[in-house]
Amino acid sequence: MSQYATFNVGERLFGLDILGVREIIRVFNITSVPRSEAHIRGLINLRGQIVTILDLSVRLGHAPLPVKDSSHIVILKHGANAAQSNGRNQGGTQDLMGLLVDAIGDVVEAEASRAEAPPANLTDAEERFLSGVLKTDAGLLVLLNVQELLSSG
Amino acid sequence: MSSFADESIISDFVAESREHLATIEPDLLRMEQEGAKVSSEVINRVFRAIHSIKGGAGFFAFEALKKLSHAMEGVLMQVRDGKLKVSAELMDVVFASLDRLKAMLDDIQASDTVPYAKELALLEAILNGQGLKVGETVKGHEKGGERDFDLDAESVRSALRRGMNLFRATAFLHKDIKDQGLTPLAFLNQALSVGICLYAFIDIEAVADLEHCLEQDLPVTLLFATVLEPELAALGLKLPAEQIKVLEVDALRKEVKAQAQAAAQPAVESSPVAQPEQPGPEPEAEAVVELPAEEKGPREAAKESGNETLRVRVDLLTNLMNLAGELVLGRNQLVRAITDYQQEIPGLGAILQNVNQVTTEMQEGIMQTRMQPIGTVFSRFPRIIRDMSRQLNKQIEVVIEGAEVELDKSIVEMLVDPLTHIIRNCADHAIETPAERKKARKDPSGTIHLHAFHEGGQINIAVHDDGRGIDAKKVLAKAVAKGLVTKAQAAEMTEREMVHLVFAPGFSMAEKVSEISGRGVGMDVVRTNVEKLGGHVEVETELGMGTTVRLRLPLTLAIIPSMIVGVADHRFAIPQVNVMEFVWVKASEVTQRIEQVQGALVLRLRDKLLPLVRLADVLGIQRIFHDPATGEPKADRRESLADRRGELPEVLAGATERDGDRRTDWRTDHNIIVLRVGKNHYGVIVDELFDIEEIVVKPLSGFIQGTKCFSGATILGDGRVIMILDGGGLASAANLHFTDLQAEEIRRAEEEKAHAALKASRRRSVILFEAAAGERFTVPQDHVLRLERISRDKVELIGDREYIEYRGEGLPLLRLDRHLAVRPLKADLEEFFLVIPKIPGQSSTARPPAGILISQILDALDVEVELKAVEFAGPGLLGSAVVQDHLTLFIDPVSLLKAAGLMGGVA
Repeated sequence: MSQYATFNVGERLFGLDILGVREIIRVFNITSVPRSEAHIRGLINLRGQIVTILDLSVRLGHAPLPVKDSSHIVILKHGANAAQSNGRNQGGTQDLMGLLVDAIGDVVEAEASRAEAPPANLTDAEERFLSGVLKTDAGLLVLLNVQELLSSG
Repeated sequence: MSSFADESIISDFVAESREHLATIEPDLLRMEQEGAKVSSEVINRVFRAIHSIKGGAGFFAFEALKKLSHAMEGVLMQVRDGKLKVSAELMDVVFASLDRLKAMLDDIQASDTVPYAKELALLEAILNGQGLKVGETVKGHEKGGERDFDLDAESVRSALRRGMNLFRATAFLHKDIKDQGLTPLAFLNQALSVGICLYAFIDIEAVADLEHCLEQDLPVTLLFATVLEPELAALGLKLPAEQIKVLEVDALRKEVKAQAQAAAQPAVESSPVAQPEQPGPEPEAEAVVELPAEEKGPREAAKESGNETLRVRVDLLTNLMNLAGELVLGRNQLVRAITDYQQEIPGLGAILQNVNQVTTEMQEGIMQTRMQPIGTVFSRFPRIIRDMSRQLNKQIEVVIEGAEVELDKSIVEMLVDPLTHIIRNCADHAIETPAERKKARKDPSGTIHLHAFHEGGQINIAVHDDGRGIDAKKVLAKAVAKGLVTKAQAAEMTEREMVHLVFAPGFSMAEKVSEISGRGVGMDVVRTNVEKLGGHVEVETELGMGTTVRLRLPLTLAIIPSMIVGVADHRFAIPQVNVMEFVWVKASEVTQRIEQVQGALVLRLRDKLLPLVRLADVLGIQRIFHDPATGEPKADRRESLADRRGELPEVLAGATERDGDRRTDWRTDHNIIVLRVGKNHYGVIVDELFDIEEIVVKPLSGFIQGTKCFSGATILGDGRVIMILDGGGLASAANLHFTDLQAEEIRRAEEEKAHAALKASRRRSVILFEAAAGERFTVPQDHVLRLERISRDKVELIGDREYIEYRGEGLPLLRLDRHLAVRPLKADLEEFFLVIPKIPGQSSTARPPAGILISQILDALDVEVELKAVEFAGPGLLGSAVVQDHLTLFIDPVSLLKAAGLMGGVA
């Protein structure tokens, strides 16, 4: 059984293997970075470390997420980040990344092997960043392909 | 490779050996300088360093390293024992061998591939010259055992002569070394502190004898010589006594004994250990007494070099430094948050102060861990200069001052190349040959003075030589010849600018490429490197007296003072080293000072055109302005500074008035920061300027490196993350074309010149006068010979012509109204003035043809006017212009006189 941290972006419920999540924090002072790619939401100061924040919604080809009271940032783990980037992330392993999401859900347990291929009616962007779907008690859980998510371009 | 000798242990050995080599280099130089007078301590230190390298090399089975260091040790031993004199030739060999050792250590696993035969042969030749046979071995017999070991004869002889005993110590890798928390290397060093190691190796033979070699601990065998008796040696090595076996070398003992007896006796008497007739393993009791004498050397050496170090990974320190910075921020927040409760909680103030103090000290301490003395770079120069001066047949001395000044490690490392280049330049080009120096009445030996010191929060490094100096004219000629500057540019250069041409890319002074320098990749690389570090380099020179190259560097790269600027609600940091100046253009002056050239904004700054970029536009930030009425921020949609929306009809009603206010409101003043990128400057328009803050640079994430405009990010004191602007990136993002502007500047300068010339041509010195009341005239001053005052009764009438007696002759008078369409003079004037014109080509003493009657002289002045044609133009009128707010007619007296027919005798 794997455990998934779940969160909402728009209508969808997404999941990440909880071992790849470093922590989840509330949104505060995001410094936007002019001239950066659209899906780079900006930078935050996480106890002295600068974390780059991705807007998951933009990454998936939708409008930027508005910041609401329920918004959170899912900080991804260093190791997971480094291991999955396979050198494609030119910034090296020191980069901390966070995902801006609409709301945080429960941690759900599910059998990773029961994940199904993502549905066919996806946009190109979605197809690239989603790795599968899992049926859980909490509903249909969309699994993210972190490696692609963090690769540039 | 022995299985236990894993990478980390070997890298320890390499690092330690490098340290040894680095420390002995100055000692070797001293040996060479002081010759026979050099203290034995220095020689000992060198000897021990090489010895310990040899020991380690044998231990890890690095054959080449062992052989070479062994031969060096042999030579040094001869020097130490006073059998060999230090000479430059000898030192050449030693230094060359030293370099080989360094090369071997650079890639230890491939150390056997480093060619060293030449050096080895030279060393052996020296030893052979001493009647020594290299590689001569003797058998050492293990007392009470069956095994014999091959020992280097010369080392054994030397050891015996000094009254040492030979032992074989066996240490078990796990039991005696690893379980004691030691590495094999540390163990070896421990052994070296009590004696001399002749050979160290893993005793494979001993293992192979055993059936269960896997269960058996690996024995490490150490053949070493010491003055200690076996029990004490065992203690010193922290080994059980039964693992120390005495080795007997009978043949050599006898030989040494014979020598010792032949030699002066007192030595033997005072040092009973040198008496070899007692063959047993029992060292004499006195040996212990002598121990302090023997051990004094190393202990003092340890005190002298005194920097016991611990190797720490740099990234660990960097991390610590970041955490310390964070702690400082946390402390600040904490202090802010609980200051209010100081009254309520007794003792809180003291606690806060304590935390405050400790935090600051800790941060400073951690910063210091990354600091390295500049001496680590400086120390390599005496050697380089020594080699070069021998090569060039020059005498050069190196004086080092301020070697203890500390800089961030990364800066120190990046300084190596630039400084080496400067030093080489000094030796190769600047310092003259002894003959030349004598001719110039200088000390035949030149000096290169390296001086590092703190100044104004920066580190200054000055490299001064007392050589021939830089000939600015020659530099300029070279630069022109190479096409680095145009003749026109050259004409306007100051001497200082000429000298600084040595920093131009591709510049080289050398007539021909030498082995040492002259390849033309020189000082520009120095400058580039130094500027990359946020530093600055300049040259001062005096012909014939010498040159000083000055480097100014920040203390650390990690913390840089930066100017914080604001655009809309964004904040950015600009490193202060890039900021040249700050220009404030008042809203009311914008039109005069800011204009557009080829679609780009430029600022006129001291006759230069400074390209401007608007930070908001380059970064794609929505500009805002503050409504002067309400103070509310609003989106600014103006396309350019020259754009005046308020004058355009499509703007909403009421906007005109508001815009009018805006242009004079202080909030629309322009803050321009002038940045330097290489040798180009440009201005960045920002909305607001904040403080200068010391910021800690954090590298950018890979995701935003593509933007180019930023060199990093930082966290401000209030915890906010901001980006650090990169001057060069910003300029290229804004598509600034400095060359276009330069062309424009030149064009303008020429236009200005032409304009000035034109202005000069329009400039006239005139005499302003009145004829009829209110009618003003001028005549050019250079057409006036004299002005005279006359009274009416002097005027005589002949026919209708008026005359006056002037210097004994009759001078005809001319009234303007007779010839021009102007009003006549008032009839009742008692007094007139006369303008006596000067006729070109006539001497001032000649009789003037006529005088012009006027009523009043108003002024003599310079005017700059453009004459306009006059409708009622008559002869003698040049035109009209407004002078002193009145329309004034400009008169040409000569043609006027001609028209009046008064030029008769003159024409």
